[in-house]
Amino acid sequence: MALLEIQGLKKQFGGLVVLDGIELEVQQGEIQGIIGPNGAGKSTLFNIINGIYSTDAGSIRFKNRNIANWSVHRVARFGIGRTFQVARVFNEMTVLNNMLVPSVVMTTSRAEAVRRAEELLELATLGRVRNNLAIEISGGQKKLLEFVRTMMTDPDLILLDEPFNGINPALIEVLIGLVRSLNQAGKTFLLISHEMPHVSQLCDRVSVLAAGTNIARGTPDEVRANPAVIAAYLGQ
Amino acid sequence: MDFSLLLDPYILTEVLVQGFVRGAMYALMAAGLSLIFGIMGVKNFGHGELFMLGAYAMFFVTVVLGWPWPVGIAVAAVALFIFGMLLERTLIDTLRRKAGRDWVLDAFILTIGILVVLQNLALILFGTSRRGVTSLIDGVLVWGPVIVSYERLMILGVASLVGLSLWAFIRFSSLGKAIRAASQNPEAAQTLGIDIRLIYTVTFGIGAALAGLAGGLLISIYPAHPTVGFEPVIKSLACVILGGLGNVPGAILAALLLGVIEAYSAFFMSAGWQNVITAGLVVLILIVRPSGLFSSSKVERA
Repeated sequence: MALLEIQGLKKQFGGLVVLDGIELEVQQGEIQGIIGPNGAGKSTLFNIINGIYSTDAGSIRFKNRNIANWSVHRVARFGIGRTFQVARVFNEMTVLNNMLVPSVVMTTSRAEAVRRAEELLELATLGRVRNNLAIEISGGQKKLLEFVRTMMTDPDLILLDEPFNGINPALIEVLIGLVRSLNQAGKTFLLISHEMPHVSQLCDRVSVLAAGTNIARGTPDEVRANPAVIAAYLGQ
Repeated sequence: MDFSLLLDPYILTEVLVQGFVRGAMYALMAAGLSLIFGIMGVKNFGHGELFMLGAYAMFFVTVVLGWPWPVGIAVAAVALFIFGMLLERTLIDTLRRKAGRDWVLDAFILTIGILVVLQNLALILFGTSRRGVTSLIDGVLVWGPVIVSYERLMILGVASLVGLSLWAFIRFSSLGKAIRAASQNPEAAQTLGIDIRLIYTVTFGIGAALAGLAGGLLISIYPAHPTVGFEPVIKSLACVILGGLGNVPGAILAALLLGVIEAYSAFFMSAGWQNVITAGLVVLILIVRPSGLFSSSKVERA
């Protein structure tokens, strides 16, 4: 049984059909990539999975429940974490306090939450800046902060939207290392990226979207050799 | 006008205390208004009517029931907390979900509607007469040149205590962190499991409780009547703007400053001048610092 199973997902904004019958299946414990040209509907798909947008048709089964059209906070509490294409940190709060925001809905003690936050910040090489305001840290550090902040909610599935965009190579290595170790600890990932080398490095399987539909899926190597994928990217 | 009086210790303390009492009232009102604006983006024009309801609640508990004043203040705050949450969940929340993108503008009209309805309900139910008490606590503290009534000390004490508790709550508690996160980035806060509707409802409740508390606390100076909230809401809106929209500590500082300036202008000119001075000050400060006195960013909200 897949952890996440999406069937026949449709989304329309006015006359514009953004997603037209998307199918997607993510197995427990895998790292799956989603690639596709700009405007393929990748971020819209994430926004529907986590409840920011409603669906027009289709089902989203996660841990055996249809979570389509649930509210954002309910999806989050049910075990789906996410990051955004442009990191959304709480600028006027310290890095450590950013990490502690979810603690209001967590059952762990405050001391335990602080311990976990400090540990994650160390892993993300952000321990040094933990008392800085989030607005003061670099763009790459903000992306890492947003990612480890999501981990504070202990999600089963983490959606990463363009995690490698605007991060320097050293921080990319930190991020890849973090994803790998969390994956080994049982976390499942679904990530959108344009960076094919990193996708190949991390992902077990890749799904390709173009113009709101699935055009291919398979291992990174299979997908890269697929003529339909090449055509979609080159616009033929 | 004799400016040497400005430095006379008796007059100075009298005017300062009067200014701080006024400032405390503006601060309680402005803190709630600023909190609601900062987190929900709503300018609550009905805030003065929440002050008015607090004053009536205080009158009911202390005069009609004859219970002690601390109970009255507690009842005013708790009753308005509940009333504020009900108002938010039934009217404002419904509007937000139905009106979509432009709901903040619609909410502005809605809060004016709340003002009109509550004011007229009070008029029908309680009439136009002023219902207050001469004083909640008798006695005067004399300490060198300082002569202050215990009642004013109590008002300053309660307002400071509430102000500090609010600050500590927002700054250190888990719910406070969630509220700050929701005001800075509502969508990101929701993806961390925070129920934004609940945050909005609680925030409006806290703002209403602060207004109700102010209304109850100042009943001996501002007796309850249907339009008693008008002056406090206008002045505290000025403080919210002066302090920088959505900046709660800024609004409180501006409130204390305005209270003292008003007390001085009332003493050295006449009471009629104090409104002119408030309005003049707001215009002047907005020209020099459009984002408010205590705002760190240049542009708060587009």
